[in-house]
Amino acid sequence: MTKVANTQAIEKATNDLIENVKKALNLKEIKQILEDQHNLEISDDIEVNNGEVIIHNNQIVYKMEFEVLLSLSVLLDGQGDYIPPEDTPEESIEQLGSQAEDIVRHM
Amino acid sequence: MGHIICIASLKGGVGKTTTAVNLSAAFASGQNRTLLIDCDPQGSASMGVGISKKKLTRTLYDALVGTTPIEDTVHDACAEFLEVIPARGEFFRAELELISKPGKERMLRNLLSNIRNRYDYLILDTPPSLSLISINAMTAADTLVIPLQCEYLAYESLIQLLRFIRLVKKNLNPNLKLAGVLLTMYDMGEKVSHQIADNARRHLKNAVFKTIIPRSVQLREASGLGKPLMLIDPDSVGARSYLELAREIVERGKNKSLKLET
Ligand SMILES: Nc1ncnc2c1ncn2[C@@H]1O[C@H](COP(=O)(O)OP(=O)(O)OP(=O)(O)O)[C@@H](O)[C@H]1O
Ligand SMILES: [Mg+2]
Repeated sequence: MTKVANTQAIEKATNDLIENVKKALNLKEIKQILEDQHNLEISDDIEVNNGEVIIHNNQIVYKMEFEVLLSLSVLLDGQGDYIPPEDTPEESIEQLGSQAEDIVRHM
Repeated sequence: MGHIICIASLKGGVGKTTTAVNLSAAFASGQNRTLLIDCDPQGSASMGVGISKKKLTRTLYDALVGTTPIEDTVHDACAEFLEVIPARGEFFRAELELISKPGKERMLRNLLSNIRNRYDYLILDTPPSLSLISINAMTAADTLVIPLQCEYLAYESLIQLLRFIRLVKKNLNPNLKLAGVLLTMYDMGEKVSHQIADNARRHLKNAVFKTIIPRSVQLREASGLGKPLMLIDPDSVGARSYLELAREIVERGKNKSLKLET
């Protein structure tokens, strides 16, 4: 194959491009997006790991990967059995409402 | 014959006594002969209508244990058309003394049958517990008003109370009716107030009074002054809400069928 350009120069240009994209990122905004997308809370600042240039819907786009620190927990009791999470207050008042309705209707 | 209303809730501090005192005053202000009956040893309702516990000689306790006719335990309160049967600390003992008596759940009902024809409304303030006294109050009552403070935990105890009422109705007082659930301490600026109010209306429909009692510093302060708010500031929002409640109860009493519309 006939080389028409210097490989290292192209690699460097691509890397520089990704580096510049990294610098331009609004990490706060992205953290929020990730939190919303995955429905979780990220405990620390996020860090960009890798980036690549790809084609997405016939467009050149940058795919950025992030590393995030999460703290997740599960509950278990003295027997080692898993305890499922509590309902949110909203769910529980909805349940309570239906229960009350049942009793009142027959009163 | 007077209509007996029991103010009940298993949770403390939800506005039972404030409701008993201010609703009584609202009825009395409409020239209804009103008797407030304090069934709580804390005696807050008695104080709320200007009774000084130190000067008391006869209380509900004396009538329940049978040493004084109930007529003689009635005291004048701070307003015209308003009388009160007070309670204070010794009332704790009533529970123990009554527990072994036959018909112990119906003592108050029997006592009130002697005097209820003298009044238009008899209002029972109860303690926040499932005590023998609360059972007596529910057994004596025609209808129940259940204050529901606009917060999550209060909603939980409402279920327990409703289950308990079902038992009382089945075993002791088949004619007991729910006058309504009363939303109290409603705070317009608070999300949880809206949530509870919306939810209660959606599920309990017309079993919830249209009248809502807002959170009001004046209502709280009045309780410390030993007067219903109506006697201090009749135009205040708090006083007017309780007048509105009284009107609603009268209206509901007229169309007796209080079935839940579903
Ligand atoms: N609508 C209101 N707005 C503001 N404060 C209120 C309101 N209703 C009651 N309070 C205050 O809240 C406190 C508890 O009210 P209250 O004594 O009526 O409750 P309770 O259910 O009778 O309590 P307990 O279970 O101890 O007998 C009191 O300090 C009272 O003044
Ligand atoms: Mg009270």
